[in-house]
Amino acid sequence: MERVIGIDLGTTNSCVAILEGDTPVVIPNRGGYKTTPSVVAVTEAGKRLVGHIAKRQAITNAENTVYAAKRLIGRKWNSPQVKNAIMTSSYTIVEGPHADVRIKLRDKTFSVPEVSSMVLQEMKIVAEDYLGEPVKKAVVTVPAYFNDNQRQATKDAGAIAGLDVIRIINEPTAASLAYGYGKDMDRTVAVYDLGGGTFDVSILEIGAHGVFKVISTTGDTFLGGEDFDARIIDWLVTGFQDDHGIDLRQDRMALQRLRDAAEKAKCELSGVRETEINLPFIISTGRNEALHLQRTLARPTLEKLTEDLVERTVDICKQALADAKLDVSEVEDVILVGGMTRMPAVQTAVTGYFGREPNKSVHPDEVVAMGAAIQGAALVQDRRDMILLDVTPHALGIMTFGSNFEELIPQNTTVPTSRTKVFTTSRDDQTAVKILVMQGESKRADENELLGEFILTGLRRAPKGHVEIEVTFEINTDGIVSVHAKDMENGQAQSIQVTATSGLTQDEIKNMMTNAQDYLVERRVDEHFEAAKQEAETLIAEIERLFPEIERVVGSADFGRDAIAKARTTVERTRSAIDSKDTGLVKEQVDQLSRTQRMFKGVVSRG
Amino acid sequence: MSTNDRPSMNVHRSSTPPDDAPLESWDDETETVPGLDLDDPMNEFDRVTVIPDLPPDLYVQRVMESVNDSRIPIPIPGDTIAAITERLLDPEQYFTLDSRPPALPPSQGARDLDLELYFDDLGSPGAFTDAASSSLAEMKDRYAMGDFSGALVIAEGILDAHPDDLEAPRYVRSCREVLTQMYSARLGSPDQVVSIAVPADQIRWLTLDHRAGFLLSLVDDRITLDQLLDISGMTRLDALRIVFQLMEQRVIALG
Repeated sequence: MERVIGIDLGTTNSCVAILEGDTPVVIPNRGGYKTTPSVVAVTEAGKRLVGHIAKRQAITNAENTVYAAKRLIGRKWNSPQVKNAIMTSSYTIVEGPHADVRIKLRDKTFSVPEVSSMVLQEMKIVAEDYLGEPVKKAVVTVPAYFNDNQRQATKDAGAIAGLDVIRIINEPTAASLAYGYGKDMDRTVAVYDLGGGTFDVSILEIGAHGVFKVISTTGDTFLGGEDFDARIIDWLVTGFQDDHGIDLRQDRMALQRLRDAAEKAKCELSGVRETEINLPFIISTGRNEALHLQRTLARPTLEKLTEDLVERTVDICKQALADAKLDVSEVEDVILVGGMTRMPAVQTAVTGYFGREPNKSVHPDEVVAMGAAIQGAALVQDRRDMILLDVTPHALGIMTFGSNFEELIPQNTTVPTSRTKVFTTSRDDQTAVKILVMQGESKRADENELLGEFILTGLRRAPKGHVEIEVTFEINTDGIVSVHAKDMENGQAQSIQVTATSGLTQDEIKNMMTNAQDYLVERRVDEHFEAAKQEAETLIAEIERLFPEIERVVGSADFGRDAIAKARTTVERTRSAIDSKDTGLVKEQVDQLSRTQRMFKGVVSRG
Repeated sequence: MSTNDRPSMNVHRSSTPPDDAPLESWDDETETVPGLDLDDPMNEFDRVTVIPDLPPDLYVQRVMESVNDSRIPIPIPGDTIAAITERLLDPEQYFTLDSRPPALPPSQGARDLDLELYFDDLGSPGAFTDAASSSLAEMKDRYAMGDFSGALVIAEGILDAHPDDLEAPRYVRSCREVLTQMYSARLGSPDQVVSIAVPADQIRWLTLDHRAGFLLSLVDDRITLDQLLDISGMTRLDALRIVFQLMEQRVIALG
């Protein structure tokens, strides 16, 4: 049966998992890490870097390193989130041809789904290396608050990466799925997700027969582990300035080291009471000497530095419960998600607010990807008890008089679905009406996302409220929304079809898929060459080590001289094949080198 | 072995870097860089040059001292600048090595310290009439002598002062390419894993600058040389130079 991977495409880190038998397993990357930073960079030489290696140069190559692309995915150019990102990002954000967002890296411009696809492609490669077979299908998670365009953009990113994203599921739902996996439960849970860059709290109802309903979700897209790191960096910078009068922030290399050290110290302090931060040669003084930074950070100090951040998460929890119209005592379990939840102060705060110890049966870094993998397996195995129902992530409706939002299809409605409502005119003698189709939960229309608009004309002249217009919303199984408006008296009708869009055309997606495929092929070719080259070089070193011994044993005999000459020729040919980067030829030579090495070893052992 | 026994080298005989395809023409199977044997420990291709603020005659003497290596005849006390210059500019003299200084060439009648002539000979018309032209001349001189680092420092200095200069960018580009090639050749395969060769508690007692400290902080026993250069935050040449120095000092190991 075809394998489906589950991918947690995070703002700061991503994770990939698969169901092995009945057990969800997180797949480590080549560095042995179970999460991969969602960071993409292009080096001065034009080389693409993804993951840890990209993160380690994020400050020294800030203009060409993209982080937190997830905050931009599926957003329109004129959205407040994009305006904010333009002000705060170190990379250049430009307007795309369809009022979408593009990112400039060196001399190329990339769409946001394209950047995210690079991370997804990396996760795909990690899974393929682990499984030893190509992977084509994936379930990808997104925040519960993502709208249809953001979800579509995530799907497009998957397609560009060569993945068929068979389902997009909400992150808290995935976490709950992993948490409830193998258990038959019926309870209300809170998912407290404190990641690297964002914080989300979701209240879910887990019902019998695999019903996972997100009752409320709220959060802060600019609150996460990086803010905790920033506090440590501030503490280090201030201390160094006091000691030496030098502002380390002015030096990019120093700042990069501070950031790496701060994150490391923060992680260590979840397990130990204090840790030493040691950064030799952090800065040169200009007097031909370099200064060292060495400080001890204790857990209480870190807790003091980040107290307000933890408090902010508790305030957001209160908001989530208020939105869900639930009392804190009604929450039966708290699931922790995100590496930051390992911090003892966070766990204490969660315990204090919810009045119960959070559930620690699931790994906070891995639980979302595991849930996605469980869902992926259930979809291909057609296990209906575990298949999540496809629901509308946000309410759908229209704008009415006074800029109000009138909801027709509530959030979390199972699709396909259809709802109809009757509206009346708002002015005397009104002959036309503009239908603005919107998505969101706000009562105010301008706070929701505009999906499309159309005008229904030919209404009869009458006092306001006398003409009735029937509006029908319909969502089919593919998630396509159709809105139909009809004058109930004269039958005059008009309609619109709204399809979620990432801001990319099909042609653009196709081109990007081709480019991604080319990149993958090139990378695979390079990897095969490197593997063959390493094998060849090891054999050459071994053969050259044996030459003197061989010459001593059989060098005086004709056949010996002949064998040695042939071996030298093979070595030279291999070197030439390596120089010309001919993988096929190197592999051929490896076979010959192996035979030579075996023969030499045999001769030496007998001699 | 006398220096006469050394294999002849494919030398670059001009003080001018080639325009478009500069490096390929210098390459042959045994040597990638003109006049240099990369395995020769005496080969100091990377002398770092500081432009001294000295009177011209002392300056020329200083230049001669700085190029005093195994490839260049040692100036003889009492030598004239003209004679020194002539020998200096004759590639046969300084790229073909001898065990002792060659005999002085016959006097050419210029026995006084004719600095203008000296620099005219280097191909810079009207040179030494101002600081810029003297810098240009020295840049070419160093380039011709194989002191690519020195030439690069001067060329970059010229560009800082005169961004519109037409010659300096060519020298900058060429020097960078040559030096990058040299360091790359010395360091070996970019796929080698870099590791720290000194105990962690001894690192702070080394004499390093913050850039070397930064590179060291990136070494984690998994990173390859190529990756280290990619994420160094420096130009490839600067990163190569520091890695090379760290390797020479046995602070890091490649393998």
